[in-house]
Amino acid sequence: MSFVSRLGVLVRGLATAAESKFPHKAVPPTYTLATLRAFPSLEPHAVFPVHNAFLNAPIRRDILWLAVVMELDNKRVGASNPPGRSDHKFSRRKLLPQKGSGRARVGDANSPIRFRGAYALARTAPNDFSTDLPEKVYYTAYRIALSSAYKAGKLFVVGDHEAAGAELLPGDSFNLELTHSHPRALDTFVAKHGFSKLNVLFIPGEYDPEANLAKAVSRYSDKVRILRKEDVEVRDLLKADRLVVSKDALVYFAAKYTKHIL
Amino acid sequence: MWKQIITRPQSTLTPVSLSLPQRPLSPTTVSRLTKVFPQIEQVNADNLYGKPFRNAYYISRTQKGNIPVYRTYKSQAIVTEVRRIEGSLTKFRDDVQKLFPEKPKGDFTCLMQSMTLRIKGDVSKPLKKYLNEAF
Repeated sequence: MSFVSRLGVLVRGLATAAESKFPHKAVPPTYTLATLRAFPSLEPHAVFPVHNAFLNAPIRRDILWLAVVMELDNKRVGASNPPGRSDHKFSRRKLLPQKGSGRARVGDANSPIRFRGAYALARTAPNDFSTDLPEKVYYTAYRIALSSAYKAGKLFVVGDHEAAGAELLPGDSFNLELTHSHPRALDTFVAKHGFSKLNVLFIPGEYDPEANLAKAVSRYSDKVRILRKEDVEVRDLLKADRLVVSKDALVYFAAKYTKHIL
Repeated sequence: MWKQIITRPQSTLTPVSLSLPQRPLSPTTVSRLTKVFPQIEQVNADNLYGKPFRNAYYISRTQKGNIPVYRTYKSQAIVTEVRRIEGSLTKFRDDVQKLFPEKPKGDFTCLMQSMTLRIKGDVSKPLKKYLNEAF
């Protein structure tokens, strides 16, 4: 037997000995590709890689639920102020004598334990209904909300890339801003993309209330919204059928919401 | 009509957020951003998301570098939980069942929402040893 064949036998013997206990183990992919577009045509100009943990996270409905419930809890004003026993309509008269009737002791008819009595036992108005969630959980929910938009093809990132060509369609730019101040400019954008029955959310990098887009949105119906990147909540991301986000805003979200994982 | 429209590409007023003092990004944030948005040279066919991750699984380590296997109690009964499973949870369960042939198959539960494998009884020590070799 030659040396080479003996070596071959030896190698094969080693391979069978080192059989893994987890034969289906594989390393999952790390990155996904997102597209950079021009506005308002949403024409794609470049792709850029993004970590899966940020834009391609597995959907967890339970975590989204926790985040949305917390946001709605924190929106409650708690100004409800039901009448107490001193505000209610009945007399201050004691209904029964204290002793001798054989029945339970009672005070007046305004007592909250009585039928048609007053409504509030212990009023603490303004009532605080706010709840909190661990930051890790809320940030996870934020990443899941962005991922669900990305996976469904609802996320449009507007921005420039050095590798992108300089050729733009007429009226286009790499900023999330309309070049025309005319109110019809937003109508045209919504109609051309077929967004008329959808909720559209714009998130510019720098919110400027005097910008053409912000002014046009303020004149438009509730279907189209524009928010400062600091004000966007998980519920806003989930309610939007189309998310038009500037690259700066996406970088802001990435810097803030990947804090505990990368 | 369109010719009469004033073209106003840039606002005359400065944005509100520009007038606020902006803090520079901390070094940890910058390093995190380079992980979220890597250079295109770092991306290749192997680490790029393409087709779904089927019939395969991966278990990532915790932040402290430990294997995510936990021994807990559910209704006074000891259970072992494996967390941080990516990919096919059922394939992983099948492979773990082969490692513990004496355990009945009903003892293994797949929690699909949280991608957790729950095993009745305490098998955390041998399972951690097996997983430590592989992941």
